[in-house]
Amino acid sequence: MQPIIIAEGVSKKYTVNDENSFRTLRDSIADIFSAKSKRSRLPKTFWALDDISFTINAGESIGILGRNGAGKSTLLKIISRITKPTKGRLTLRGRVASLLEVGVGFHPELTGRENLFLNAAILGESRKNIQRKADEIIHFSGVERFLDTPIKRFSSGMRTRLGFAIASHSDGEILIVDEIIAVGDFEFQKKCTHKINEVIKSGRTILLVNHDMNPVKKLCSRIIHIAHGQLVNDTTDVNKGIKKYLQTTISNDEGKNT
Amino acid sequence: MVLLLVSSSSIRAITRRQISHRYSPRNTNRKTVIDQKPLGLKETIGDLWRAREILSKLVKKDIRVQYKQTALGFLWVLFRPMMTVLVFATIFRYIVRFPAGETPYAIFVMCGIVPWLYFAEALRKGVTSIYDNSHIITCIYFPRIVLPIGVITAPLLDLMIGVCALLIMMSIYSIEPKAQLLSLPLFISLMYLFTLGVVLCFAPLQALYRDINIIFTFLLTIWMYLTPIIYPLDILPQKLQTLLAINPMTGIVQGIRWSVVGDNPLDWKNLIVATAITIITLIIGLYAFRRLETKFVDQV
Repeated sequence: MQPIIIAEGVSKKYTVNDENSFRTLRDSIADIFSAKSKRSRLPKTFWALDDISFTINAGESIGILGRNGAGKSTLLKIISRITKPTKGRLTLRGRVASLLEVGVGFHPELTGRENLFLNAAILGESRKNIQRKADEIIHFSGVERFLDTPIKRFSSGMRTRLGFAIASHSDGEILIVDEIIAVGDFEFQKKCTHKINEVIKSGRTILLVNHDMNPVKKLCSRIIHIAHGQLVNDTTDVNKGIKKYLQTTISNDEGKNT
Repeated sequence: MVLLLVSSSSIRAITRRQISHRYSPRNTNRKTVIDQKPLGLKETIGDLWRAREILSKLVKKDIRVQYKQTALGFLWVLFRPMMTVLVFATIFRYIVRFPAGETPYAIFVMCGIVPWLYFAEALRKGVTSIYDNSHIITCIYFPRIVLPIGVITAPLLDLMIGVCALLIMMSIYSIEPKAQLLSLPLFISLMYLFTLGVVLCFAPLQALYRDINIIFTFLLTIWMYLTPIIYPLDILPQKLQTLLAINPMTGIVQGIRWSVVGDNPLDWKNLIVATAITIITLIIGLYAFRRLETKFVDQV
C-alpha cells in the first residue's frame, strides 16, 4: 500500500512569551517600575514537537494519544498545513480535510444554508461537490427547519451539528478529527461515530485525537503516542497502546502528588 | 489470542479493500511537501487557482453581509458618495472656490470622490483582513492570500454603483459622456491592483502589529488631500505637482476624471508613474505576504 503521509524529523519551535517579542512603549515604561517583568524579557523557546518521524499508509485509522500540551494539536496543525514546521518535512499525497474545529468561518448574519456553502468552500470542496452533497449534509445535521434563519439565532448545539455535518462530508483523502466527536447530545455523538466509521470503511485515512478512549478503541487500527513533543509509542496493537498511554498518565499523576 | 488478533486484522484489511472500490481517490497524485520554506510563486498561483471557489464565496459573503440589519440597506451605497459630494461641493463651491474649468464643481468632485471612497474602504478593510479572520486561519488551511483579495474585491460593486450615480448626475447637468468612457475599466483595474499591492504589504504586518491600522486611519485622511480630488492639480505650484505625481492615486484619479468628463487632456506622465509604482508595490506585496505568511499564522 502506498504511504499517504510521511513525516521526517518534524519539529516545531514556539517562542513562549511571544507577546513580549514586540514591546510597546507603555510596556517599557511599566518595566522601569517593576522588577518582576525583567525576567520575562528574554523570549523562551519551547519545542512543541521534537523530531517526529512516521509513515502512514492509505486507509489506516490512527489514534493520536498524548496529554494536554504534548504536541498533538501542533502535529495536526502541521499536517493540515496551517502552520509550518521549524525543521524536518512532511509529505502528503492527497487532500487533507481537517476538523480541528467545526463551523470555522460561519458568519453570524448569514443563513444556515449560505453558511453551509461558504464553509464547505473554505474546507476546499468544489461547488459541484457541495451541490451534490448539500441535501445529505442538511439531513445529517438535522437542522432543516432553521436552514433559512441567520446562524446567529442558532443554538450552539445546532451550529456544531451543522459544522460537523459539513466537515465530515468532505471527500479529502485524509481526515483529521480533533476532539470533536464529543459535540452535541448523545444521539448526535452516536451519529458522528457512525459517520467516522463509514469514512474509515471507505478506505480513507483518519487521524483521530480524542481523550475518551472508547471511540479510539472502536475506530482506530494504530496508535501514535506523543509526550513532550516526542514520539513515545507507535503500534498497531491498539489495546496495548492505550494501556501503555493510560499507565504513563497515571504514573505521572502519582509522581506529582507525592 | 495472537492468532485471533491477526485474523481479525486481516479480515478488516480484506473488507476495507473490497469497499475501497467504491471510493476512488482523486488527489493522491498531488504530492504536497510541507517544510519550513515559504511557498514559491508558482505554488502560490496554483493554490490561488484552486481557491477560486473560496474567493467567490468570500466576496459574495462580504456583499451580502455589508448592509444586513440596516434600515436603508442597499441605499447606503448611493447615499454615502452623495453625502460626501454634497459636503465638499458646498464647502468648496462657496467658500474656497477652486476653478474646475468648464466642468460643474459637483461633477468634478464626484469624479474623484467615487474612486477614492472605494480606495479608502478597500484599504481599511484589506489591511485588517488577516487579523479579522485570525480564527479561521488558525483552524484551517486555505491560501490566505484570498482573504485580502476577497475583501478588496467586494467593494468594487459599490464603486460600480457610484459610477452609475455619477453618470446620472452628469445627465442632470446635461453633460454627455465621451468615447473615452470606455477606458474607465482600465483605470479602475489600475486602482484595484495598486490597492492590492498596498494591502498585501500591510495586512500581514497588521496581523503582527496592531499599530498599522491605526496609522492607516489618519494616513488615509492626509492621503486624500494629497490626491487631486477636491482641487485640480494644476492650481498647485509646479514643484508640488511633481511631488504629488509620486502618489499613484494622482495619476489614477486624473485618468478617471479624464475618462468620465474629458475636458482636459490626459496626463500621460502621471499615469505612467502610477502604473510603474503599482507594479513595484504588487511585487513587494506578493513577496512580503509569502514571507510573512509562515509567521503571522503563529503570532496573530
